[in-house]
Amino acid sequence: MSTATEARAAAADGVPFARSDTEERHNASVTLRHASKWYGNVVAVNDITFELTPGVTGLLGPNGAGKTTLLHLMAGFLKPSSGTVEVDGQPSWKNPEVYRRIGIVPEREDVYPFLTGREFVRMNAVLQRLPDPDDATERAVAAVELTRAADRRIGTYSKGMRQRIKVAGALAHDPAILLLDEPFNGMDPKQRLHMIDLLRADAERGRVIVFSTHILEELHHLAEQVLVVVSGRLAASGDFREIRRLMTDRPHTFTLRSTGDRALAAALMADDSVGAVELTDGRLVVRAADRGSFTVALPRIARDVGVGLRELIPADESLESVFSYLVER
Amino acid sequence: MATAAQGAAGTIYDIGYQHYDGQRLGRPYAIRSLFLHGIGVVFGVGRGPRARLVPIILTIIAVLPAVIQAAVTAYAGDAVELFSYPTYFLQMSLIYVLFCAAQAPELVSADQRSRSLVLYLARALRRDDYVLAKLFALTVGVFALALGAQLVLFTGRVLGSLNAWEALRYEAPQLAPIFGVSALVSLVLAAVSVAIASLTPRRALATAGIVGFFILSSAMAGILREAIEGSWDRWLTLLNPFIAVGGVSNWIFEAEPGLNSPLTNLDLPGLAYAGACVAYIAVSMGILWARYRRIDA
Amino acid sequence: MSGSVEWTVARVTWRLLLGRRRWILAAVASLLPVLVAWLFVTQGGDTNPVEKANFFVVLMATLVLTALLPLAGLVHGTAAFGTELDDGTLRYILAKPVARWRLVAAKLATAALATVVTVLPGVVVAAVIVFGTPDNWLLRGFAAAVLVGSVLYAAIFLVLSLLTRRALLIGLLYVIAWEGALSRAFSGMRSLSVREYAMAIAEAAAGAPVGGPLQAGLESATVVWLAVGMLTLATAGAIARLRVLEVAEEV
Repeated sequence: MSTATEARAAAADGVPFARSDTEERHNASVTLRHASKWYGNVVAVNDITFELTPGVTGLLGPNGAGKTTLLHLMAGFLKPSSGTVEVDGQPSWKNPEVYRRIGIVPEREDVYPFLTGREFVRMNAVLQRLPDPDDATERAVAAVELTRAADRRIGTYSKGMRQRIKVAGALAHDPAILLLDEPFNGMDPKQRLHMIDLLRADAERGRVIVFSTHILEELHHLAEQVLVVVSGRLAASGDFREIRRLMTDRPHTFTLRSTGDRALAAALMADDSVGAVELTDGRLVVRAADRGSFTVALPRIARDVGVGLRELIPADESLESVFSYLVER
Repeated sequence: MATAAQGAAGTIYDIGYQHYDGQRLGRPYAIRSLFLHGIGVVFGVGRGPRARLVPIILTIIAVLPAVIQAAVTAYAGDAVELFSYPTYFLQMSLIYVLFCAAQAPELVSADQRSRSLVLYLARALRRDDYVLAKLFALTVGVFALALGAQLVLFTGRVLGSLNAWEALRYEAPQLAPIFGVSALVSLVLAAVSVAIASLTPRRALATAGIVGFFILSSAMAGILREAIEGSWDRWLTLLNPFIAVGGVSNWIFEAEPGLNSPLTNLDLPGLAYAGACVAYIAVSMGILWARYRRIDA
Repeated sequence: MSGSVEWTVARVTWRLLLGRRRWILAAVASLLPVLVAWLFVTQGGDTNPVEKANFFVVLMATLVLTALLPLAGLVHGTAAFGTELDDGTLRYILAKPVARWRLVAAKLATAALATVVTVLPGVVVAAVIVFGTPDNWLLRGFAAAVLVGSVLYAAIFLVLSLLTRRALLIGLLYVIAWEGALSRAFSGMRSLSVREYAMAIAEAAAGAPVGGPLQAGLESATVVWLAVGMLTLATAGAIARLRVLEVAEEV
């Protein structure tokens, strides 16, 4: 089969996994149209529509938001309760052929503990019906830098190594689409950096990569596009920086304690950076329209009115509250 | 919140975690707690209704025939004896096995599956304490089943007779053997079941293992009885734990095995049965001891 | 090499079923008939061939076909898919462009083979001990019964493990209740009892009715159809179910 010769030619170039059929790669797509998934009364995924493009897309959301369900829908592991989930125009459900194009790295740690790393990756390669499974195995293992440990049983691996061998297994057939569920779980910083490099390089070669996380910072280094999922619904999508900016533009709430609450309150209301002020038992709750200018203005205002600031507590900055805001918008 | 140890470039703050200097209840309390918790697990107490389903149903089935017998005794006296003290659990053996097979894994396999063993042993509890507490919990559970049925029989015979006081005095000497045999049955069954269950973290597999063991041992004992005409083959029937316990039971109650009992014509000395029981318990304890030597998870 | 898909699945499944320390259990189980046979012989059991035949039949019927074989089939049949379902590792096998029937075929063959390996050696050795030679018509009969029974039990429990998470427990109830008691009590149910099939096959393969001890209740011709039907149904069911199996979230 031609892919074998192509692969060897590519290897001669010194580029792992480069394929001359990048056209095929660029046509890869994952499309969801009004996809929903419910279990009885519990709606895990609620009317989500989007199309994945080549490059890295981050799936961001709090725990229980439905990220895993979404990935499983894309992976053809679950049947959509309504709507469609398509890979390259074909439904992903009940369609084993689609797995030629998809590689999946599930979240769950358990991998056959009695197999060595090499055996596990080779199993994946053989089941993918690759013409040269041994070659593919070696490349995949090398890509995740586990060549030395590949002959040890997976049961002896550390958590980070297990994650990497799972990725190797998913890469064995050089899929056009790669789905990763919380891939950075359990990785130390060095491993994380390496994985990020690996995924970024792949994305540049045209792969569609989706990874889920609930940690904002993981997106920072890797994802160009972001899908924010909250309670099964798509709360935001698009460029990561844009969304980040949108998130930080929302009104901020601060709690103040001072030596003269009422006087301070009156003075604050007069300032442009303040949206609302509330006096409650011994505290001042201030809603600032713009966080930046408020934090600059506050000390000046306090000094002008002769009030001492005892305590300044910004409101809850958790991802949760950010997401709630996004959902309400 | 006042002290802070000053290092060259860092500071450790005392943020109020209190050192506990109060009373520590210690190992005996821990053992007792684990045991009581085990009892709860055995009867599904304190868990969802589904956990109670199997033990409750089996308990009812285990005691029902005794109730029936008690009623029958009330009407027909001694004439109709479907169930009697010595042979009750032999006839109900399947139920006891199912009970143990269902609950022993909950006690012992579940901890391995959820990797809680380390948590238990990180405290005052020792390995042996853990094993004994669990074993004792299941023993008490089966004991309750066995004793309960026997006491129902007892009550039936006392209340169902014409003169309750006389009947009481007549039956009273049976109480000691009743307790003894019930204790023995529960101990042997629990020991074997817990030993088998401890070998795997998968509950369903442990259940299959326990049931499989009893099925296979009774099948073997059955064949050996029927097919082998030797002098010492009879001893091999002791491979079935129920025969061992049944033999002791008959011995203690000084009763003759019934016509349909697998014990008919065995004629082994009472001590042999007792020895077999002890052997079952010893081997089970050995397995448990070996298995919990090395704690992986 | 398309054959290597099945081979790879089979190899991994084999290690799941009998790898690590599970083979010890299988070895112990297979020794039981040997033990009983040895005891029979050392007890100066009658060298009368009729007695020997009777004993062997009883041994096969009560220990092997009623207890050992169904239990082995249960444990291996449910574990073939069940272990990976429990561990969450089945998704690695499912997420591959491999026809579902090939997966089922590979796992079924492995489970059946594991069952045979657990039961048959003990049977053969027991026969050698009792009869002095493996060339014995009774052994041939019961070996065939074990082979057929293994495949059937493996298939039934395989599809069961795909239908319910409690396959092992339900299978256990089936073995205890159905094969143990009910099917003997109600002769109508015999046509659905694998044990009955096995007995009939033993009779047929042995070449002659063994008379009293075997007491197979079914005609061997009927049995072949029933067995094939059961196998087809179970396998088709497994394939169909595997196609629509939804991979659950992390438990």
